[in-house]
Amino acid sequence: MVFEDSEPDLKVTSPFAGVVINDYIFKIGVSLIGVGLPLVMLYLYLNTLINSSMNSITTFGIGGILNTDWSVIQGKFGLITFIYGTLVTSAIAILIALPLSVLASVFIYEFVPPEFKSSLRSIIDVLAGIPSVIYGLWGIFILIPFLNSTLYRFINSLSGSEAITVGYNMFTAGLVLAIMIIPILVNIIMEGFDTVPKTLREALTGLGATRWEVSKTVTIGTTKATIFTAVMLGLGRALGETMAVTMVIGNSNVFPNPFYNLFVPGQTISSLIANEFGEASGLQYSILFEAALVLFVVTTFFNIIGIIVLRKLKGATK
Amino acid sequence: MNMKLIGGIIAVILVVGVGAFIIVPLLNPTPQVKLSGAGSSFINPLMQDWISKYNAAGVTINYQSVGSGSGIKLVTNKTVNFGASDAPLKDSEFAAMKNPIHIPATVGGIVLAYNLPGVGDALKMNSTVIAMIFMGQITKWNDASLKQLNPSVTLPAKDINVVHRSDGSGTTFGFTDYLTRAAPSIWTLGTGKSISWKVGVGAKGNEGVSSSIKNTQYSFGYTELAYAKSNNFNTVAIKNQHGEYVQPTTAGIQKALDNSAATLPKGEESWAKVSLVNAPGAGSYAIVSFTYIIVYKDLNNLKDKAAAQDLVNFLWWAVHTGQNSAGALSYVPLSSAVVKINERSIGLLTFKGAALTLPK
Repeated sequence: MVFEDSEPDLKVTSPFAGVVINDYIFKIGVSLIGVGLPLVMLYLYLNTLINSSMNSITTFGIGGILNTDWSVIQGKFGLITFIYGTLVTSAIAILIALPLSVLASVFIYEFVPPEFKSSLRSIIDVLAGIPSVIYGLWGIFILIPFLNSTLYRFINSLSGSEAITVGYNMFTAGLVLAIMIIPILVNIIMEGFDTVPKTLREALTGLGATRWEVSKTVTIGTTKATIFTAVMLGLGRALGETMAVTMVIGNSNVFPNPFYNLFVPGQTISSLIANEFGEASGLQYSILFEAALVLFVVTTFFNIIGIIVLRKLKGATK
Repeated sequence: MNMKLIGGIIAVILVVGVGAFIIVPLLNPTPQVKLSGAGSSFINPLMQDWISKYNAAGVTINYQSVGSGSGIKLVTNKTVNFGASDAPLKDSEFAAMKNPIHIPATVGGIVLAYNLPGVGDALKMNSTVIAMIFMGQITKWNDASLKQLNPSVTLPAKDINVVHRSDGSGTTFGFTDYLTRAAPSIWTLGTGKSISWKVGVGAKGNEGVSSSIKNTQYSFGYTELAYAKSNNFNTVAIKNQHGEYVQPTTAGIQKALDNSAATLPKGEESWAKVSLVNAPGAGSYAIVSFTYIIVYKDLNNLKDKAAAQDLVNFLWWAVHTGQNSAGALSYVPLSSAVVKINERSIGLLTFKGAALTLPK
């Protein structure tokens, strides 16, 4: 208030000199926080992971963990089952969530009257913020009984057996993950749609294109990079999600047989850590840190791929 | 934005924050003695009940239910004053602590619960059948061996949906200890807190297993007695060594305790081989296990002799008066023979070599 009312007094101070020093301090401060802090965090993080997993890394080497035998009692710690479970559940989640999110975004963008649009979007924001344990509970008490009486009963009747009995399995986990990440995807895709120039759409509509054609070529067509970013963020959430997955995946340390049977209980890396860490000791304690390290490598790998693809997509749309 | 306003807000936050640091200790003029413990989640409800009832002047106790394994780790490196574990110390853990004392603090019964529509509390099983179900060798409810044990029950031709713990747990340890001892030729997956199960779904915690059993028809799993009672589960009557089928009840569990008491070691000895499962004698329930409080024999991990005396008082109270709370919370009170062993063990505790007095 004080500053707005008074006239700037140029004679008393030299604003130029002050700005330079301020700017200099600002630059150093921002670089320290922006670059230094993440680097320090990353160092501390990796340092803990590597130090704590050293025991198992030196005991088993790489070969010792690249198999499917997991038995704490016998000292066998193969991680393949869990890496597989992590990738499969996340893949199911993305395959289901991506088309649904894109269609939902198109619906909100094209068909919802403007007066409902903002309230609908804030509802989606709220959904994105629901704690994962709530999704897990919802999975146990609503989704699993529902699937048991519909989809799983149907599959059982097709195969003529009662192969799917309990409903706690990798597919259910993937489905819960899909429902968890849809609000995130819709949120980001909608942001992308907002940046599409109105003139482009109007021009195409003027040429007689249907709403579907406009959506396909302009709205979706020009925001491919954003949609891909949304997928990467959703994937990041799905790969690391722990609580909701642990509650519905069935937590079995046995590799599915045959490997494409997703309707059997499984385990992801993060659910393994959540399950075993409390009572772990010795080598088991160490291998759980190594599992966390593996999860870190997996997510980093997908992020790097994501950055490369994103660059290509951005290049293509320019 | 107004710089003065921001400055003012920061100043208020600083004053309130610093002020709180100064004022809060002044409001509590008598410095409170804090005892800390950590470990078993199984004993946690009972422990919290003890802590709230044990209001001896100036003593507050903090117990963190972080799991038995972590509890042993935390007491071994002297982060907490006492640990609580569902399994006794292994030989390596015993060696790491050098001179630990085991104090059995409560007894738990592990029950086999099922969700079979139309079948009441009538099912009978023996160790062989239980082991075969958890090994995946019996997969149907109407298996011939189950029918033979339960001729009067109509068993459905449905798959047995096995539910087990997914997290490392003392309950799993007690249950697999039973299978290993009672059906060694069938159960080959060993005794441990974390088992590589061949069948079934895993659920986290006793509450996870209970909700899975509740929500899944034709399911079958193991959980603690307290959870079976609170969920009104039907439970299996298990054949004991004496040849009787015994339902999990407080009486049956106490009987197992009494019938095993003569074989228990002294508090300062290793308890690694102690097991209450498959207890001999009439009326014994088959799957019973202790939860232990574990302390150093010399309490030099406490800050002074007064604090060590407070811990001794609390332990004494817990194994005597504290046992009265057990029943209401579906725990089983210690039998008098075990209390005798504990009295002697607590008498061994010292602070830097100096003896501590027993409350009596």
